[in-house]
Amino acid sequence: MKPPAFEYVAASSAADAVEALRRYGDEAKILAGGQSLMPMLALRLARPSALVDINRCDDLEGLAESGGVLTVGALARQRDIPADKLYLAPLTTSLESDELATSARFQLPPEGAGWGFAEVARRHGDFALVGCAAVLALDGAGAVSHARLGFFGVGGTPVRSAPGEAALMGREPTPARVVEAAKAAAAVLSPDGDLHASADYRKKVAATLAERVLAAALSRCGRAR
Amino acid sequence: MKRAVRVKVNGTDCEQAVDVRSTLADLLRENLDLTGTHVGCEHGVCGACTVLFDGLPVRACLMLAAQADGHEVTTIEGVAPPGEALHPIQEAFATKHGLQCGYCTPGIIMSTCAFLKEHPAPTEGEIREMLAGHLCRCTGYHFIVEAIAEAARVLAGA
Repeated sequence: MKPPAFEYVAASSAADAVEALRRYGDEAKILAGGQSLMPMLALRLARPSALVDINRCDDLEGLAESGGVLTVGALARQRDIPADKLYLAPLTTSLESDELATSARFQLPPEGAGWGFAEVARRHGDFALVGCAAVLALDGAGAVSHARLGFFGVGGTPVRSAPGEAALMGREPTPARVVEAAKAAAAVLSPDGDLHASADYRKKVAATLAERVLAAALSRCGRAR
Repeated sequence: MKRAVRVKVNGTDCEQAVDVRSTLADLLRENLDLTGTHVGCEHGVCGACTVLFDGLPVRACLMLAAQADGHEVTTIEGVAPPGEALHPIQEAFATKHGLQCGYCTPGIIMSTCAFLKEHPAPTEGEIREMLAGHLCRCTGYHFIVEAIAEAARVLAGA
């Protein structure tokens, strides 16, 4: 299908884009890569009265690292939102209608950290039924000094696993403890079931993937100096 | 709402007034009569409408015509100039029977043009991974993979 009619604004800066958002109230949508918005327009699931194209905003470009923080996008920003306060549900964030996410900032992992990532999808490149990512670092004695474990596809938002991280922090990551941490992480998940996978199945897959990504992260860890 | 768009298509500068909700695929097919760019799903899943945008593959249904202003687009019509011999990739698709109905073929060839620049000697796995962005309901992909491998060999001068 073709998108419904809309007005098109080619913003030249972040301030310009925010000004356009104010002008249209909650009737405007930001057009960046278009990978999600354009299909939604074509399917008429979204019918904004205006699109604000930010592809020509030079001040929103670029990658920068400073003080152990990687900034993707511009340095200019008006309000910082932690990731767990940003995502509310699929395609829904806590941004107000006149707000624009101008950058994403990531704390860099400590030196020697290892990572793991795995997902299960019906087809290559399709949305994951369940996915899991982990970053681990070890101290000089071989105990876990940094642990991050997160899931996706198990709820309306990305889910970071406090129990999974707590089960490893400060301890030696023996194979038994990794299994225990993966189980603890999956136990508290409450995924929805749908046509593609039941809630039970997602939970089981989450435990298996958590075990695999934690093991992969450990195998990539270098010891701290 | 109309908007003037200036875009270089297959090496020729074009200026068109487009409805702002027109996609790049609409601009190519309806304004410029370049109907070699096929439109399948119109929401970024099937890959049939793939063209090169500043040399990189994009789905022409997921980009507004207005966004192409000031950029360069190459379509299947620009792969080998009219009246000249087919491009080695096109030739390989013909000799290896890499197509049946041909609907998905222009998109696959455009992706292949960009892919072989980055992977001049691809493995079968790499070829299949690239093809994951394209749906073909006729061939079962096997001959497409062979055609791309053959094109890589020819382009490398082997």
